[in-house]
Amino acid sequence: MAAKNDFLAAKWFSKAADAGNAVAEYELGACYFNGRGVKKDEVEAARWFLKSAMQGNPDAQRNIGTCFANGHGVEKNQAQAVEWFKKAAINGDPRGMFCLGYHYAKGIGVKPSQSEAIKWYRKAAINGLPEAQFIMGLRYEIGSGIRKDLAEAYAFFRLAESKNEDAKTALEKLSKSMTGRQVDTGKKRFKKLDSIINNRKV
Amino acid sequence: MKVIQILLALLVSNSAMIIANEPQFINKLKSDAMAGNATAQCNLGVSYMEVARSRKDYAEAVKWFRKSAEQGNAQARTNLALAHLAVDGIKENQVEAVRLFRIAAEQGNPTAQLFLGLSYLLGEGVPQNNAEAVKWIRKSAHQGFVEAQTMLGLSYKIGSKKRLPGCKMV
Repeated sequence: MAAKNDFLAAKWFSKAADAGNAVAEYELGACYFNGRGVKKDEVEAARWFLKSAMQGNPDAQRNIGTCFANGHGVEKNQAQAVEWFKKAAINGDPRGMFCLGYHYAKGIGVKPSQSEAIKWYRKAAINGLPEAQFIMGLRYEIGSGIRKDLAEAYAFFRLAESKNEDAKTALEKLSKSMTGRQVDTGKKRFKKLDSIINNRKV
Repeated sequence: MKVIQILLALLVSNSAMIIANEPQFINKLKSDAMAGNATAQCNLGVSYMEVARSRKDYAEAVKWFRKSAEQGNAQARTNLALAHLAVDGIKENQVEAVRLFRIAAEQGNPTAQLFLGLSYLLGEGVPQNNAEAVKWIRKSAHQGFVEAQTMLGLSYKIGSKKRLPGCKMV
């Protein structure tokens, strides 16, 4: 492709965003948010994320959710954040699922619900997000919001192991406390989950 | 992002709108098309696309695109190429689509220019060539074609070393 050029990228995103293209609106928002090719401006970033999000772009929905959660360019509003994370999650965005799970877990901007938290963490994990796989592992390991199950914990840590340092460490520690039979079950569950994830990618 | 499917949907939704708003429109279109009007032939092809998409049978749409394309209509050539690509996974179709995109792109059709660029980018129906890809996408973007502007922005964002994420033709 063309040589990398942040300024030209922002210029073309800006043209297409002005014409209402949802992908360009999201990308332009990201340019403003990171100060990439344009001067950093969180208010502009939030404005473009919102435009794109209202057209149904899941990346933008997650990002405007994050803006509301942290007060970037908009007034902090956790309930709004949750609403946007929910939209992103329903549109299949793994990180949106993870954020939604987190807000349910901590009861930020929404009534706390461990079952909802687990439901969304699991979806994010099955959609391949390593952070979510790690959290699912932890939840199973200590039995938090879910029935304790070391084999299941093993399986989720294994999924995340190659991309997430915490999961790798947790897996090493967990393996030592498990019986050989538990590890075997864990391996089987890992293979099953892994094949589910790979089938989703296709 | 399946670019072609998005554009096909666009093409179809526009035509569906026209037809829904004017019941007589389709009859006029048919008589003009049969009388040999290239634009009418192209639009009639578009009007068959909605049915074509649900039934996966593009024969009727293709018939009219072809008649119009034979008269040199650039949009019909582009649509004919898109219809070729809509039929999944046939390699000869990709080559034929690129041939048609190229003629229409050289005639200045912005949709054809974008798709010729994408064909080069993905190496589908033509050997992969980044320089040619950018050249055609840029031409289309400069004509104000919004999807091309977005693609060009993405290509500048990502740079030459990586492939564009999630971009696959049909």
